[in-house]
Amino acid sequence: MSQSIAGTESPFTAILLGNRWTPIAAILLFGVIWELAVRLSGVNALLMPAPSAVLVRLFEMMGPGKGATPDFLLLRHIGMTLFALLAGFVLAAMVSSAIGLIMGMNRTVYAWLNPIISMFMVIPNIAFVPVIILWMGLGINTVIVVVVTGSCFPIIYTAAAGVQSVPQRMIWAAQTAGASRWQILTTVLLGATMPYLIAGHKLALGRAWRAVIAGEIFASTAYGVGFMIFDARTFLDSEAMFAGLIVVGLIGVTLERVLFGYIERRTVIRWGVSTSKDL
Amino acid sequence: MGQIKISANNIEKRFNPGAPNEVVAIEDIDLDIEEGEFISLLGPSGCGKSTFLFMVGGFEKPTAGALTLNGSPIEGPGANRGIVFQEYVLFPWQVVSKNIAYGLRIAGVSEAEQHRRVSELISMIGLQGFEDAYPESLSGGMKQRVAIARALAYDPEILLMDEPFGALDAQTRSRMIKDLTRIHQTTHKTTLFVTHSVEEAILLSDRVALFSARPARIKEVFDIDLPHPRSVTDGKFVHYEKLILESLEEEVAKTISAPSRVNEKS
Repeated sequence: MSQSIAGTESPFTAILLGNRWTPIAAILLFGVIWELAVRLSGVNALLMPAPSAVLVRLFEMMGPGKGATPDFLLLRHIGMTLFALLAGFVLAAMVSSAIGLIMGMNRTVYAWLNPIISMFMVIPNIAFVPVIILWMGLGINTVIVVVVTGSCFPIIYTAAAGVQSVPQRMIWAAQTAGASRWQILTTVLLGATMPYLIAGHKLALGRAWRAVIAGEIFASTAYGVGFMIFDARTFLDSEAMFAGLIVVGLIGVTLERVLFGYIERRTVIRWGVSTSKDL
Repeated sequence: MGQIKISANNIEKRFNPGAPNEVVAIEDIDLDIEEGEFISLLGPSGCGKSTFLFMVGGFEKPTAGALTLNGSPIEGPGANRGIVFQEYVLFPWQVVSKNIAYGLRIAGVSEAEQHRRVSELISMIGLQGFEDAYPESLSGGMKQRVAIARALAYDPEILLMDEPFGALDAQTRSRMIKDLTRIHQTTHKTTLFVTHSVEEAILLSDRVALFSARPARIKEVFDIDLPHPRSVTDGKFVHYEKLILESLEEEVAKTISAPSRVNEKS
């Protein structure tokens, strides 16, 4: 950040050098170039619609329906996607945090589980999708399970690493104050591991978001933003496909930046122990 | 003074006993520490003085010899001891008052009593107004004050301090020495103070136990017969300093000539 000399610059220079408006300006500029490129090149709009047309379609889909299209179609898709995301993520968070903490606390459990988890972690989540469809068929439950497999491993991994990173002396300080093993878990390990847990969940939510879209593309039968993108292809509705991509990008960024940004400001940044930069 | 609080008889500590990388950290330590006494454990770095402190803390076990507290063998850590480390090791997710009250919460002390005790300690360490600050926002000296208050909060019989002022700048350190002297004079806690600073040892202690180079023995014990407040310019201070430095330098020379294999702070 070049805040020290910000006062001497024109607003334009400040945005150019990078300030808090720059991200918006960058996205607007990207849209303008896209628009111009489409218009000037005369490319087939079915293959590459202009952003203006995409935005019109996007707002259309958010409003009342026409003909066979139900009202607020896009919002229904988004609602379904967020529901599957939340269900899968919460499930993964609860189970994986517990597994990770136990792994971190017990050397034997760690030694036996770590190789297995390391192997699962390198498999792209999308590769699990055909197997899950084989087991569960198509539908929302399948999408939820895809979210679980997509988000559980980073949480397990970082929770275990977090427990192992707790300084020996912090545990000694608690033991000297008379803390039992259980009290050490609840009063020291959880707090000391929190930066890792938060970083792990942040990473996992990003993965979960990617997973829910991918899962819907393959396994959804009615609603979901991923389903919408895939379904629009059938009707050569490229404007709806691009509108879907924009929605996926906007919600994804919001989840990562806004939600976790808030949690981090309330916790690890206040404590001076943020690990975000390390991961 | 009087009653023996901690008694160490023929303490030996080997790391990795029987293995090819076996290290004898402590060969033979005999030391009786009296109730209410402030004793410094002084020695060249890596000599095993922290290891001895950790054995009193109950974190390490001697491989031979008898180490007793109030006449009973030390089996593990417990709330009759309080510990302060060089690196503060506060709980960063808790504000100052919560850090200090930690041992009281563990002991199930009532909220009101916790509050009373914490405000007493806050004024003892001079951190009024910082009750709700996170450790992150404090200077090194303030953090160490909080660590001392946390160790004293549940009123342990013994205070164990492992090079507590090692990471502080000179001015902060000399203030901390004054404050710790005052705290010791009001609380009369039996205090074991590990340091490699001769000056700190003389300014603070009733006795200074000088450790030899590894494998450690107690080379000499100096009684520091000086009234408080003590000053480094005092003639008797200089006398003790010379005496202890000469003895210490022999040991430091041995550590420099011998290759060191384990880090004492592991």
